[in-house]
Amino acid sequence: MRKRAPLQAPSQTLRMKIRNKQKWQRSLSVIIDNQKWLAYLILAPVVILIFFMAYFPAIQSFRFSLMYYNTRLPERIHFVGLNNYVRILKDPLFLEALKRTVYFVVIAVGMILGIALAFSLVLNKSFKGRSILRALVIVPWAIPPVINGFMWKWLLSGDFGFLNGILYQFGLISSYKPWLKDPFMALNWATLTFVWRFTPFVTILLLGALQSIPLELYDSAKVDGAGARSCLWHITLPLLRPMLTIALIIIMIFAFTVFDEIYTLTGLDPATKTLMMYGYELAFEKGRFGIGSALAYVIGIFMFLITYSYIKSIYREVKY
Amino acid sequence: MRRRDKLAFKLRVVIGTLLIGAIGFCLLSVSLAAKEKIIYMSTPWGVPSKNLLAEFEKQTGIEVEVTTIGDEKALRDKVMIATAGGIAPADVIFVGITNVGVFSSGRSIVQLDEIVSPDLLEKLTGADLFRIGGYLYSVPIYQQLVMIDYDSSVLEKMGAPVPTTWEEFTQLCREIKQKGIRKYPITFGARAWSWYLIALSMGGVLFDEELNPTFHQPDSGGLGAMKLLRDFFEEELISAERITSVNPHPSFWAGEAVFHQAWQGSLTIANNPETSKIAPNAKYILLPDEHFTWSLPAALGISAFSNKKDEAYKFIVWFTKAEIQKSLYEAYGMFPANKAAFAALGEAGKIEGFDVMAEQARFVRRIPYRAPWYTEFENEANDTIKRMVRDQISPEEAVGHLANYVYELKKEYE
Repeated sequence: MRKRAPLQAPSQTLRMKIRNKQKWQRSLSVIIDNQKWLAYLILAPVVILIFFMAYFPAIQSFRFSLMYYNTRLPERIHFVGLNNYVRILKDPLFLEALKRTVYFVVIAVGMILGIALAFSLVLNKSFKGRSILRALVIVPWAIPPVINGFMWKWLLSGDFGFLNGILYQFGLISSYKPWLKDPFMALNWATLTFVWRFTPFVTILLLGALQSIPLELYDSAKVDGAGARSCLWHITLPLLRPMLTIALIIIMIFAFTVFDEIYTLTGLDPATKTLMMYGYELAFEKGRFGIGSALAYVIGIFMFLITYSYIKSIYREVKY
Repeated sequence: MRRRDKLAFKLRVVIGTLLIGAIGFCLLSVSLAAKEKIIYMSTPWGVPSKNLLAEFEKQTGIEVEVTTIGDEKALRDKVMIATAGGIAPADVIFVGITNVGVFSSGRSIVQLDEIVSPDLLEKLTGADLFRIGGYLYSVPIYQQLVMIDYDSSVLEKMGAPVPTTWEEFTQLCREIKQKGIRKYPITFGARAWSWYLIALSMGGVLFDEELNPTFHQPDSGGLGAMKLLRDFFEEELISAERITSVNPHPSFWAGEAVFHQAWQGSLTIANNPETSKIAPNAKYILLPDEHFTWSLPAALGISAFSNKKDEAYKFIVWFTKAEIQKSLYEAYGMFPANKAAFAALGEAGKIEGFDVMAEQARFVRRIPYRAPWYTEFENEANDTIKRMVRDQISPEEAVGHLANYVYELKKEYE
């Protein structure tokens, strides 16, 4: 028998290399085997993207809000602390825009909730063509805000608008009216364009909630002699309340930040300039990034308060 | 064993994903680097045809991607946002005269004195308008005076002469309305440009040499123009639609008005039956009263953040060639800045209303475009005019407010 050559002990360097490789493999396997670390690894690119696309600009604009930053005077950019916030809160144009925005939100919320509730109650009944009507109701929501604004601009045109044409044909007006001339009317028409687009969404939300109300409740109430009005007040509305709260808060958020529809309808018109539009004007039209960013953060605080109540209402609903 | 397989599989997935990503990125980079490409940001009326751009690519190997922005205001917003972020919105930027002050003071575009050859500037008209503090910031591509054109068929039918004063102009418009010939005889917008037009032609000087406002003085053209503009809206000689849709051109071309705030070269559009119902009856008038107007030319600048400045300059040189300039005139009625192209159009008899234009060119005043605060003033003037024609404030309050606004701006900017 031939004798095997005795195995030589690995050199010191080789032993080190093998140990390092094993160590590296072990740590990699710890990362990959551990569900939590793997999740972090996979999510990392998305988190980095979100940071750079959402949080980084937000941090940057907060930094701007503490500076005198006029794009026309780049050599004079300097730190001013909370001065921009103080200036904004004292600015009469800000207060005017705030008043306009509050009016817009109050009217829009009231109209949308009222109309959507009526629509959803009708669509909840069974009648012929209900499914077609339900599909048609959602159409305005599917229209992009910019297109919606342009469409209403054409409808309301004082020279050749559809609304004037219809009213004139029916003899309701003697001549074409410039609907957007009066500043108060212009704001109301702007509100209506928003109401028109947003009502279908809330209708569908409420319809979903209506369909989750057990029919037995209505049957029992009828046995007890309750009429349609009593059923509405004592069964439907109380059970719709959680969804109505959510709808209310969603509408408030969107109404508060409305921009596209009004911009396409009337442009940066002083009659319809809401807070968001004023912020846009300050930052981008006038190049005042400092004060514009401060206004954006003031709007952000309002939005935070609304969103906070939204989240609270969701949790309340879960408890319910 | 199973554990090792699992580990190997997961490793393969992670490495495979990274590899696919890396390969995709490399392919994209290679395809982008394969040919020279520049981006040109412009308003719709500053864009050469696709054929011409293809010709440029053939000649130079540089592909031009055009980003079209609706108007000069929107273009300015985009450029300023990009500047704040320290990036180039495009390599070549369309610079309307209203934006030159903002772009130069905001350092969005580069000084071109060391790049542009004096020979090129020699061939062009209006380069001085784009010089700020002695430095050239953009190369002119077209020249433009603000003018008024009118539907001559209406005046001929009425047997009315062309008005030479604002009083005659107003009386004639009232008559046109009363007779039911046109519901809204004038199409001017509720905006600063219409105010300038009336004020300057009344003989007003809006600012003095130090750029202090003079338009608010009791006997000034500025105040007179505000009053007249308010009256036009109040008497419905101008449609109230021009408060929210300030662009005055479409309603004139649709045959709804008789007089129209236009530009030097606008007859090319107004007398083209494909674009205008009043063709071939549009003619210019010399602005009423003292006849003064102002100039609204445009130029091309190079982004301060572009890393393709040489290619961008090649594009600018190409853009100022006679054939490109002529094509811009034929498509949008923009008068060539290239002197040879202008002369060639004149010789070919393609310039309509040349006599009135030549006369009008003798009466030109400057608007303070070069002041860095100019666009803020114009924004405020637009808002103020809207409020005035809606009767929220009087003309006196409007000019008073604007004068104070100018003083505030000057204080901040000085």
